Amino acid sequence: MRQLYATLRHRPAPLAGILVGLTLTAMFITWAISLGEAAGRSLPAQFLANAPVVVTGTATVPVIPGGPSATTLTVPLDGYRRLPLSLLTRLTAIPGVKDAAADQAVPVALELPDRRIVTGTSAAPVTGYGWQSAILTPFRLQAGHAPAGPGQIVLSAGVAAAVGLRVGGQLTLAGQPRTPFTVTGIAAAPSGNLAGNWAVFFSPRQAAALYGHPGQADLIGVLARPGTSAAVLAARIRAAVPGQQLSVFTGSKRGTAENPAAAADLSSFSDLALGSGVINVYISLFVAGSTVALSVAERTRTWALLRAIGATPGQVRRAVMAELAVLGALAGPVGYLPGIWLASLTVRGFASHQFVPASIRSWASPIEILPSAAAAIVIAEIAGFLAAHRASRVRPAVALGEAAVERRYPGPLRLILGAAALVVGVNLILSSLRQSGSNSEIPLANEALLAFLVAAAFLTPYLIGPAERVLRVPLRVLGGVAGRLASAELQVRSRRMAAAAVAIALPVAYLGAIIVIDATTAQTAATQSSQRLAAAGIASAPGPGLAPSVLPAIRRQPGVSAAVGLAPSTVYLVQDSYPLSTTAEAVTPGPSPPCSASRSAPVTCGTSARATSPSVRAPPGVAHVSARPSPPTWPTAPSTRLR
Amino acid sequence: MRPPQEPAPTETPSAAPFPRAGGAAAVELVDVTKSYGRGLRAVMALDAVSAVFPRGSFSAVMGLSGSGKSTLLQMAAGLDSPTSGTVRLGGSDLSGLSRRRLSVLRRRRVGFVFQDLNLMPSLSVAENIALPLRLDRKPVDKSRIRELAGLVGIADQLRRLPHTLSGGQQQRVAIARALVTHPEVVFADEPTAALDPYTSEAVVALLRRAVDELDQTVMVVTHESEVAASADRVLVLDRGRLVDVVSSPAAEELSMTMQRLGEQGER
Repeated sequence: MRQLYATLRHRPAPLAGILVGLTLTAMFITWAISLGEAAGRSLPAQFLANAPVVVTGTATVPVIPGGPSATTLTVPLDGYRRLPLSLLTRLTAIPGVKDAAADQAVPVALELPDRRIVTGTSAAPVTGYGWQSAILTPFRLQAGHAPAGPGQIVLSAGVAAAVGLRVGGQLTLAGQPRTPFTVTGIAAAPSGNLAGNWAVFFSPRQAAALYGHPGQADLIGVLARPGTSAAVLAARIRAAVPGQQLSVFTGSKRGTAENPAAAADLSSFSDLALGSGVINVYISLFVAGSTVALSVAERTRTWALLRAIGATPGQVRRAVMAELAVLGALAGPVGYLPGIWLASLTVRGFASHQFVPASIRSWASPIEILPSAAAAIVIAEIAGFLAAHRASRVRPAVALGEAAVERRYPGPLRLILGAAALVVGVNLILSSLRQSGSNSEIPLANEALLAFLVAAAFLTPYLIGPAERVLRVPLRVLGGVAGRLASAELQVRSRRMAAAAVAIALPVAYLGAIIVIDATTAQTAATQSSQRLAAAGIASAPGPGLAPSVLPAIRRQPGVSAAVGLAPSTVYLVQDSYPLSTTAEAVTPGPSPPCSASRSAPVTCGTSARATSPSVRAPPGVAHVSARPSPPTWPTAPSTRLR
Repeated sequence: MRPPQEPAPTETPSAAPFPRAGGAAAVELVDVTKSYGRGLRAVMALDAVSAVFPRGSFSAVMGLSGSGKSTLLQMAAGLDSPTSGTVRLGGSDLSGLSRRRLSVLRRRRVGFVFQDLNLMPSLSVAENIALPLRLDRKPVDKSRIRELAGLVGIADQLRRLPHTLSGGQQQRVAIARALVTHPEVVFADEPTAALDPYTSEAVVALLRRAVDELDQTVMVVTHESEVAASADRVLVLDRGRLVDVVSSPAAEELSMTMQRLGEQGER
């Protein structure tokens, strides 16, 4: 509309506040979209770059729970199940397959002669492979020869540079019996392939021994003959091994198979982006709503004048809405640049703390301006709906100079909605207190926080009066004349002050609560981990941990009365036909009473059914696990393996 | 007497092209009562006021603060609805019209000049003058805007923004805007209250010319005797009642009336 254009051109001040609010909104929306986009992209395959088709086990386990119901449940796992090695020969026989290699990856910690230990980063840990799987990248020897027997290791060029060893150098593996390894060769990955920064190779037999799962492999990479496409090959593989529970990956999905943990990181990252996006939209709705309400209320005389000289209520309403639409459309592109800058800053920050793989980049496309602007417009319109309605209801007689007295207290609807939000928030808090011990407290706390923010937004006009009474004396004593004026203004124009207060209070309250939640979580975690173990000493090794053969050696040390091996793990349970996963600790069986050595939970320790399987202790809340005399129904999934 | 610094208008606008409804009265009020609030706290702003504003007349409504003169203007102009009684504007009854219909009626048949803050701060002088036409989605004849601007003496200021104009110039723009639709009546609410006496006189003279030369009907609400004295007749209001109608009044006579009303109110 001309009116708006003219306002923007000549008197932008009343609109500047709205524009700033909407620009921030657009910025955060761009940020969330950009993060979600970064998290949504699949990781490129690194170690498996040369294998067009990758075969793994399924990411689920079929379970037949006991009891009357005999249905099969499918329980999702965090990773993929291992494959039988026997599959390798069957895959190699399929027409079109040039070669195939089984991948037995095991994280290793390299201990150098100067006692330095190299484990890589948590996003790219130093990983040992059998030399047979070097063709999957492919790695080629730059120097020396392939590992051919025990005590031989080939380093990738990146690892060799990091540890400063050349062919003929010596190292040991931390946490393993102290047998020295000699570097027999240096292998290089194709340039740009990140696997060259973490891979080390052993002889196939040595790798299988370190891997610890005889006759099994993480995955099998398949190389195609020239002229056979990956899709055709994948279809042949699926047809050739029917009945086997396999996942066959091609193209960009191979990255997920190669590094399920990183894929899981990315998925939590996208949850985070989504969650922050929702909260941002929510808060900006209130902030934009307040600034719009403020700006529209400031121009009451203008609306009255328009109404007096003949604008219909609809025309005034449309004028406000059109103004907000244009401001939203303007705010979108303006907020876009800081938004993508913030997103790339976030991704880099997360990557530098190894929460996400370093190969992730937040990707900025000009197309993202569109959703950003659209969201800013929609938020402006939603936020401005009430304000526009109010502007259209301004009495035209106000233009005669009649004082437009604000209503001191807002309408009953506001009170009812605010009270309802308050009740919801209190209920959420109460139910989260009842649910103690489970991980659902944090999401509940967030929801309660949101409910309280809604309540605060609705009830602020009622709170301004009491707040003013509390602050009246200090305001007058410290503020002098300005303080007296501020106090009087707060009393008379509490509603308008409420709009300004909401815009400030919501972000501050939200940030404050987040910081407190975070600090509480960290404090609790620290307390718990210090109480978890009653042992006099802890032996541990970085990276993959200790080899099983280390435990008897520790027990033989003078003065050691008992020693127990612990490995954190995840256990999948079926409770009332409902699969759930919980953290658990695998404990080594042995001569000494395992449960007296740690006191993390009041668990009755049953004797394990087989001497070789670890007895599993569950945290409180899932008490019936270890009480089962028969082998329980949880699957021995890859994530329960002892490393 | 015209202030020398304000240029004399030279052009005369063409005759009104919009047909007007029959009848000699531009505005007619019959037993109009307006009360604010309810029950014991109700305030009677207008008490059974009946008045006729003939076509082509210049009327003034005088009274002390709180006499109900602004309320009378609101009722007559369709800015607000009376509690009881009938208002007819150009022959049509305003009672029972929706807010929307009243808005349309105001922009087509009524012109307004307020005390101050008359103009949209973001629009230029020309755009402000044309605003009633734009709100009505009527085509804007630029030559007519220039003509009116010349008539009120602001022909040089058409592209300027209101806040760059003096108070007197702003009131001239408001008068031009009020005249742009050839309305049934121009209502002016204390149009000179924010002006110095010298400028005030020029603005009143402009309203007088609109009546004499353009055959406009003008109704001015004021508490200034000098302003009221330019009118053909003056309606005196006191505490919501019409107490006197003076024809061809003199300023001294009017100020004595006001003084008497004030002394009565104190007793």
